Amino acid sequence: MKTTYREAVREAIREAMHRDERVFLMGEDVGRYGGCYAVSKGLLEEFGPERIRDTPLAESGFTGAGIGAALGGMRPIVEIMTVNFSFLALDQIVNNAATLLHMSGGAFNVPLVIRMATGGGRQVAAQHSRSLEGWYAHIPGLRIVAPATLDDARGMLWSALEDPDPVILFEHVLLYNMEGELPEQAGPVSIEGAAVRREGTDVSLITFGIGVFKALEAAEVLAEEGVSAEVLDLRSLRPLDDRAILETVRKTHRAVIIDEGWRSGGISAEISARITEGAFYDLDAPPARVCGVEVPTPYPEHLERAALPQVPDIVEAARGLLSGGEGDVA
Amino acid sequence: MNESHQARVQAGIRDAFRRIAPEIDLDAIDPTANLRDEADLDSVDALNLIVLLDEKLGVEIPESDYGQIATLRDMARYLEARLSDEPES
Amino acid sequence: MSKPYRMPSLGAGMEDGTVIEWHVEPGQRVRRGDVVGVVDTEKGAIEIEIWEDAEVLEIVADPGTKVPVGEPLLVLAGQGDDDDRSPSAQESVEAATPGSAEAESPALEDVWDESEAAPEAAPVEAAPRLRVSPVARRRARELRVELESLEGSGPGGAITLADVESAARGEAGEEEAPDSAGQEPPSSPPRPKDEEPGDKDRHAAMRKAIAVAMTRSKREIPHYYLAHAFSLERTLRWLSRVNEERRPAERLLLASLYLKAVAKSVREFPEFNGFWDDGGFRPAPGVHPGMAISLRGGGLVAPAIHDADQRSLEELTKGIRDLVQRARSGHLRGSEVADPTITLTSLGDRGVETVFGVIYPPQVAIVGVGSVVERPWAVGGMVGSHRVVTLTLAADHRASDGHRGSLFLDRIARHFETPEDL
Repeated sequence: MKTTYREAVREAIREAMHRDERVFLMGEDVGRYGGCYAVSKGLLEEFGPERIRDTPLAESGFTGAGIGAALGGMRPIVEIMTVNFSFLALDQIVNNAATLLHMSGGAFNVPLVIRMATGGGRQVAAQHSRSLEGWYAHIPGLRIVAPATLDDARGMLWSALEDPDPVILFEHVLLYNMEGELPEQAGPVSIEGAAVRREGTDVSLITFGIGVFKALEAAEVLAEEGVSAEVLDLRSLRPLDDRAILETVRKTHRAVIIDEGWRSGGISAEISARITEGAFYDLDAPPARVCGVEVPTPYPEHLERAALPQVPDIVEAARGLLSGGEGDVA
Repeated sequence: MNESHQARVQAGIRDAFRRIAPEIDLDAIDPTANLRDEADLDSVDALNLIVLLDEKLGVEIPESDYGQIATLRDMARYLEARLSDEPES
Repeated sequence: MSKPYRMPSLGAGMEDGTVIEWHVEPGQRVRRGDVVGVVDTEKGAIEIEIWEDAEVLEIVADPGTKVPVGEPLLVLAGQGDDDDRSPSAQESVEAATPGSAEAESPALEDVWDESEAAPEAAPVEAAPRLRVSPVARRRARELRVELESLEGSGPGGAITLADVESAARGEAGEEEAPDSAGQEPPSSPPRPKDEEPGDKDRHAAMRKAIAVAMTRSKREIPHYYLAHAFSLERTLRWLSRVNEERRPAERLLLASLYLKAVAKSVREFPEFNGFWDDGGFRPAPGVHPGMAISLRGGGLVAPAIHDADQRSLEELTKGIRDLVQRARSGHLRGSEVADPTITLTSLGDRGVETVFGVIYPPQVAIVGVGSVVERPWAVGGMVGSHRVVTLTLAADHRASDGHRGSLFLDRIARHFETPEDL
């Protein structure tokens, strides 16, 4: 069945609504407007305003309401339009959702799912183009998931709802229009563990979300040069799949980590550190990173493109680990 | 006859010295002085010298005769005498 | 598996050596123990040996070049392929390693020690650190590839896994190639006379080396001294009887008896056979007494007689004669100079009664034998004229104590007195 990422997410929500009446969706413009990215288009008609709830522009309020609902036995899906607006809900997410299980001595868990769009590339400027998955991945008590493929978009939501703890799903804005085949009977997939999207022997391209597709493209280019790149889709950013990361590095001895987020204190830093800690003696070159340029994401198209990791950047980083040349290792 | 012995003995001694003490100038050594003192030969050098003289000249010097070859001159005389004792080949 | 063959350290204080000549050429195969060339040091011209079966790939240091200890002289291709390592090749490599370590490690440490202790000595500069990827380093160890000889192809010129593996493969390929060229004996061009370092310089250098080693010894080693005089009458009679019947070449040297007596005894007293380094005593696995040989015109060397405890008196005599002759003509081998585990100094038959040695660091003991002298000697209530010798021990009090030293010395004397059992 030909479908899009957007439709796959919608199908996932629909299926969850059908399977479990405790499930409801709430967020800004999710009802009448059909969702900022049209993910929930048609759901209001299908499920009614009780279960597809439009909220005021008050992220702290409706995220808190979601937490309360979850504590009360519901299985809420809170849609925060983009990660950029989640800052307004940080206190609810970090101070409440992430901590209550522990602070209640295990008495209250928070089975909340938050969906957020993330990333840049749509020329909506700095305040709407952030990739802060790494921020959330920093917080114990949260599970951070980044579905990149149609299967994951379709299958991860249910698993996230099944999880007894708060789960944040990051959906990259550029992926919503991605088309592909999905089996009619596509169902839930695990939200645990990374996945090798392309096998290779010379260098590991480690990434998640939109980075997976840029890495796959880069691997094609590298293949033409005789370099066999392996692409690892992390899928889960908290917890990180250490075993998969170290496994691919032990196989190829070289790693390029790709993250739209900034490198300073980012998830790429964490991955690089774990590689160095866990697979130091398997490394044939220092881990390399391709990250967002450390500026507020520019508005002009050419500057934005330059500020975000692109296929040629990944190819170049991989080459740098393989060939002699000048070698710009610090 | 005697002269040829003399020449053989001289050549033999020189040859042996070149091996055991290459830095020694044999001509500068007092032929009547104690050879081991003059040339600073230790007991190992001394045995090497005896072995080499045996090899070059075919004269076996028993340990009991060591006293008779203390100087260069005595040594030459001793060796010439021993050569003369042996039947010519 | 190419690897450098380095300038060996031939004793405390040696900083460098000058290549005099090579007995090998590129493409030639060498066997463990072969003399590959001659190096001029403060101890004179030393023949240096190779420690494994290998093929010479390249001569790095041409004759006339002064090379610091530890720097490459040759590039060798070792034996064996990583994937198909024949047991014999592995064995030879492994067998070679302890040997060379034994030859180098104590002495190398000396170089460092000296640079620290002697302010006038040039500070030993650390070689620039090789850029090697962690996995390449690990793999090189597994494949026994010497990283120093590799050209890095990685980022910043780093040596990568591929460099290591292709080096290992490369040599393996050459191993399989027929080696007709390797069988030819090497032609070693005679060294021009004017290249010979002056004797004066050499004596000065040797004096300096002795000064460094002995100063260090007296500064660092708390010596204790023991002496024991005993009658050699019986031993000397036995020796005369034995030698009476022998041609000169087969006669035994009294020194061989000394040597054997010390070597046999030290096996029972291992705390006198080995090295004091890194703040502790490290017993030597073999018994390789160094024979102090004074050189005419000044200077001293103490080359080793290897495994003296396992050799017959005849073999030891031949060994001593050969060693002395080569010491005189400047043809000692690196292993002989570097390997001694204990030193034996003998004044021979023309010296004085007693000698107390100075330990050659990092060794821990030196046994001295004075000249044989005739003395009134009481045996069983009767005084007679005996030929008497005084045996001494100077030992490192950090490694052993006087009681054991005294037993050790007594054991040497007993062995000495029963030469027929030596």
